[in-house]
Amino acid sequence: MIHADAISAEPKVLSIALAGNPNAGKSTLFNALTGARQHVGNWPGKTIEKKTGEMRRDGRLIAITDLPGAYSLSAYSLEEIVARDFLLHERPDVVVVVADATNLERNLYLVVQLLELELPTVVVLNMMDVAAEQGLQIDVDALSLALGAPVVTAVARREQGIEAIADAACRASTAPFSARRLDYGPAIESAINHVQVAADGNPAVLAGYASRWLAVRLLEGDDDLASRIATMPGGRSLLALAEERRAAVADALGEDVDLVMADRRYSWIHALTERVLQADSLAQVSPSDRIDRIFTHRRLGIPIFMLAMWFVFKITTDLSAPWVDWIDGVLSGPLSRWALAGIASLGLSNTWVASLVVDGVIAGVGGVLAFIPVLLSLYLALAVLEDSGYMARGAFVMDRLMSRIGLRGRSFLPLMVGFGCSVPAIYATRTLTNERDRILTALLVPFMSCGARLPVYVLFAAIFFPRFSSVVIMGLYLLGIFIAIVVGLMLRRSLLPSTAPAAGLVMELPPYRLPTVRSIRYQMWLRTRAFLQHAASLILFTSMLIWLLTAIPAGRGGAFGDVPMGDSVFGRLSSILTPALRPLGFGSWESGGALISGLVAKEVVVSTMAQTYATTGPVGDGGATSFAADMREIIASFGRAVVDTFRAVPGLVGINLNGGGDETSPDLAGAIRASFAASSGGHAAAAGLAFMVFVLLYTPCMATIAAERHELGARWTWLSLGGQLIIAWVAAFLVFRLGVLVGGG
Amino acid sequence: MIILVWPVVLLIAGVLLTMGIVVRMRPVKDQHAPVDEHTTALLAAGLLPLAECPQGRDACLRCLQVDRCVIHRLLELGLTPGTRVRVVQDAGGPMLLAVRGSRVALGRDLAERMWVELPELEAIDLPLS
Repeated sequence: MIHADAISAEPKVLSIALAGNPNAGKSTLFNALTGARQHVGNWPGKTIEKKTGEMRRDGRLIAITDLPGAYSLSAYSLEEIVARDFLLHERPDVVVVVADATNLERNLYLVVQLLELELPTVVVLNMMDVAAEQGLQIDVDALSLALGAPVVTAVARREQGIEAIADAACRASTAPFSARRLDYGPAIESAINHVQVAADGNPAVLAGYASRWLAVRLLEGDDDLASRIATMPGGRSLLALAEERRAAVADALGEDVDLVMADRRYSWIHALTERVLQADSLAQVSPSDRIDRIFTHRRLGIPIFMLAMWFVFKITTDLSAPWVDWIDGVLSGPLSRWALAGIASLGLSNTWVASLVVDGVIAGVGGVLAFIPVLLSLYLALAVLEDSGYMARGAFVMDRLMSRIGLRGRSFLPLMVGFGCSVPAIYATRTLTNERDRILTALLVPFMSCGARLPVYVLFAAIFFPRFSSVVIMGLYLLGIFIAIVVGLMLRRSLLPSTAPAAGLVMELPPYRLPTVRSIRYQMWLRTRAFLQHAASLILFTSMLIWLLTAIPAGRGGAFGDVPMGDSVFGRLSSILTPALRPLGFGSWESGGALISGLVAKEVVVSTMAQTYATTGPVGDGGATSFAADMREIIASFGRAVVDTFRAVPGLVGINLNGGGDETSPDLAGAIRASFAASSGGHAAAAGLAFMVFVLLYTPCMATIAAERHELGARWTWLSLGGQLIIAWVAAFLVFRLGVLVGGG
Repeated sequence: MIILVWPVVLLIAGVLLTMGIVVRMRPVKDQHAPVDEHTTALLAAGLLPLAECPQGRDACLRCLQVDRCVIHRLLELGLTPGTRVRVVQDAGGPMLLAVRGSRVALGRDLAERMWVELPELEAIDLPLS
């Protein structure tokens, strides 16, 4: 219907930026405005979620950007900087600022700051229904008059007022700017005037900023803006002037200028709300307060939070498990058969093509798809916790404990989820409000022993410590937590210093609200889709790469796609690894291979071992000594095990307590014990323990790497990868040596 | 093999010990907050730290003795000097305040350095001065 020509001839795209305080209902409004036509990504180079979407209104395309929630435009938090940079540099046609009608005074602070930017602005009073319930009456016309900007009322949850907002935005884009100027008082106003005149005289410095806004911000001591101005011609003299005026005003008022200006804004807003807001009853205790008396209770708070976390944990593991199995079943069953049949009809069965499709492509796709149920259930849990307002309470309750290890209360949830699976845990770090905390938490997540590692512990503990297996397993979990604490403390003192020394906790606790199905559905689907778009390619790539490595012959003959494991590039690589593992007491072939397959997915460590040892034949006491003689056969079986690795990737998540136990045949146990005894020089148990420690601490799996790259960027991912390998090696080495020492003594 | 349980026991003990140390460490450090002249002056002026403000009482925020970057967070949340605040909950850890119609959680270390005036105290002080 719409022709390409028509679009290019009439580029009537209106860009709207959606701003507002956190919890003002900005996201709900965004969903109501754009519907499903939206895209979730990250702001370039930042770990903050960026949502863009579009809507049509009177044949006009409106592009909407959801800015991060911010309390002001002071640029003291990453969210504020992102929001402000977008407004200053992208210069949207209209700014729609969402204000919570039930909390007018606080929300107007951002509105007032936005109006100073002198961009066309529409103020949306959201949650008018709740305000009415609370007996709040707002004189919208008077408010609009006082602000000098159109004010629209809305109930975003019920999609009321959406049309009016779109209309107001369209009108505002063409209307002359009319916002009222906030008077900061004579002393500051004269300083503003001074700086403004100087700025007006230098258009290069202005660079499109409103000169009054620039003057206000410079007087307030905006370092971020100042550093930008400094690079411009004539910028330094302007900064010097602003600094001089600032000092003069501070002397005259006997207070810091920024403090006075914030106070002036709030006083102005307070006077305004007194005029336009009528409260029927001043309820001293709100329903939210009543709920908080229980949820943030000094004794009940933490148990309630633990219960909530347990639910999140169960949801991400148990709820998704059947779906993971289902996807696995479909892919490895019918789909693989169809693919093979199709290949056979082309006359290519038993060639490398068949292997590529089944073991490379289908297995890789399965590895990606298996995360969909997990992430959907995680985002379900997160959305309910966030939208209801409970997340902030959890953070409040846990903050005291978590701050001891340099983390925030909010870090607890990702770390907890990490005991299930590291991938959703890394995505859960999005709930943290500070980038440093987010990175720190994401780096610590892999040390939480995920469900996939448990079968390895179960098997090895049963073999080497049959009488103390539960103690050993428990110890491994604790060791992971311990390492995370140590690493966290180290990172905090080195790479990730606290941005604000003794910053402490400052956080709004939003009123409790019933989450809407619509909002939860959107969050689940859009965020999962973002994972598919960003992390899927890396997982697929890794899967294909390892398949390729097993298919390429390295030297000793064999054709592409038809080569014994030992002669493939992959086989060579894993034998190179053996010397590095020797000091840890498990420098044997089988362990090396199992660990490499564990890079793809941890639960295949056990199955790889089962495969390698089972085909080694009846391994007696001389099992390990026949290592060299039976090399080729072992390598061949290892190859089959690695192929199985990919088939097992869809089973990547979820706790499977019995998985290891069921498969433990006496033969396997004996074989592993004999092999470890040989490779460790008689200290099998020490080597077994070292192996478990290594499995606990080294890179969880390629999906975690993909998630880290998606959330943190390549630099931190490499650091995390390298760090984990080093820590794992050192810890395993120490455990082995200590074990030998104690065992030998 | 049984003797190898010792490393495990030692490890667990180490973990617990270190966790204990970490948990113990911080509050001790917090108590060493510098008591400078400014603080004594504030105390003399009849102000008291927000952290010591009784629960449920309205107080007037007077002075913010905190870092610059934190000040801005406080200001934008409406915690400007002169604002009425009420301690909604104080369970020993972070505090829960009512400020300008919203609820704000505040770390205790921060509340130690925010000075408030209790209206009743002011009323008692007035006839004396």
